[in-house]
Amino acid sequence: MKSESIKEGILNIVDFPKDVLLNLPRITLIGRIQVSIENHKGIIEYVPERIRINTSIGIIRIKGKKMIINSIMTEVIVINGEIEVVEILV
Amino acid sequence: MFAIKLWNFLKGYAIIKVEGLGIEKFLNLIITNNIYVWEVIRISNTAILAKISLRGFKEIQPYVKITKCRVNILAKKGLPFLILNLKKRKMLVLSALVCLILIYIFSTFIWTIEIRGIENNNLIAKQLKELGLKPGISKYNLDIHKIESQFLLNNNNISWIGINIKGTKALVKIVEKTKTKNPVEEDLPCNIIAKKDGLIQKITVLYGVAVKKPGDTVKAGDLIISGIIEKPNLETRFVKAKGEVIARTWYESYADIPLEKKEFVRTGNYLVVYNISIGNNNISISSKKNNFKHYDKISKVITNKYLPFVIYKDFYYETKQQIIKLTENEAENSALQLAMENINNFMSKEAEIINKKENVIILDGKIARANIILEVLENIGIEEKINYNEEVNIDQRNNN
Repeated sequence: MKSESIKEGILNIVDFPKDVLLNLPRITLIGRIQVSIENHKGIIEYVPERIRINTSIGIIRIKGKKMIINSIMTEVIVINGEIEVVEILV
Repeated sequence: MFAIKLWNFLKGYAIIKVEGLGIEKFLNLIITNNIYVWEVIRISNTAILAKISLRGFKEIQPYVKITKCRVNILAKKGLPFLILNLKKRKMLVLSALVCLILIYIFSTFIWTIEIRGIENNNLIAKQLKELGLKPGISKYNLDIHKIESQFLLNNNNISWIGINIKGTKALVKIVEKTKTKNPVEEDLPCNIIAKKDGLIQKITVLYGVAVKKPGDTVKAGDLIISGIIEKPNLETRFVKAKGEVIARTWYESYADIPLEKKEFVRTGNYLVVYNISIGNNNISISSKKNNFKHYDKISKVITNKYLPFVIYKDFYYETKQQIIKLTENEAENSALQLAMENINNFMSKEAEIINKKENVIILDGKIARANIILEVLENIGIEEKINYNEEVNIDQRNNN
């Protein structure tokens, strides 16, 4: 854990994108119509009203209507639809 | 995103239906093995639709077994399947190819020739045809420069010709030579005479001998600058007289404007009638008939000039006779205007107005009569060719 805090300290100094080195998910919302999650660890549940995605910080739950998985790859999941809630369940 | 979709289209993809309970597990397995799926839509609790690349589809079979799902292909899309379909319909492909080739071949010919800048198009078209520019000739066999120069050699009255080829159309632009305005040719001896009556104000002689001096009155046709130079002990010389004769001249004009006039005014009612004309035959399409007593008719052509028939759209505007009364003031003004316009038609444009007299009277309370007298300064000199023989004869007679 010491190495983690050292990493964080260096990152604060050089202003490097944190998600890359700390292996954190990056969640991007475009209005209410699209959400993309990078650095995920697979989907747990998918129904048009609810999607749960596993990540390194816990489960991300997205609620909405008529949601579809626009594309699904090793690094990124893109979800389209009417998004209402984005929650992080630790 | 677009690039990926294009790539998928080129490589071909399938729409699959996955049924089973562990669909999320199945998706996770796929993505950890780098198989790309997109547009995943859940259609029921136990089924999804997804798109998958052809290569991916071959690789998912083991994971289907592990997760105990069932996979059906609903449709195959993309270029490889398109080609496969076309292979079954060889004639379609062949005729499409032939069509393209024909379009290309026909586009290398010239089909129409448009001539601009001259009125006698037929004659020009005929000459161009003889030189090789005619509908149906290949563009590549055409030596435009040669045709242009040969055309100019054949036609002396044309100063420039430009041939532009735009697609299958040859655009020929022609500029005619303008005729020179000098009534008397250069270097021919001439006199300058008065073209109208006037009082000479100023004479500027460039060549020749002034016969009249400022202050003289001249009548139309009087000699002002002579082109015959006679000096004692020297032979008589004939020159082209040149110079400017500024003289004071007068113009007078009358104009009448009646105070009451009858005019036809449009009432606002109108009728539209369509006519088709093929050759010399006219057929009216509209059932309405023109019942107006007095009307204006305006005809418009609404079809393209390349069609074999012409459709006219005729507007009939109903008109009504109306008596328009002018006030005395208005009538006087318009009478003056009319009189001035009359003068302007006669007067040369360089003339300088130095004095203007306007007079308007109302005759019998019905007609406004305007009278304008203008005093102007203008050049009244005009060249007149000297008739050699006559002059020589006169000289000889004098000598005798």
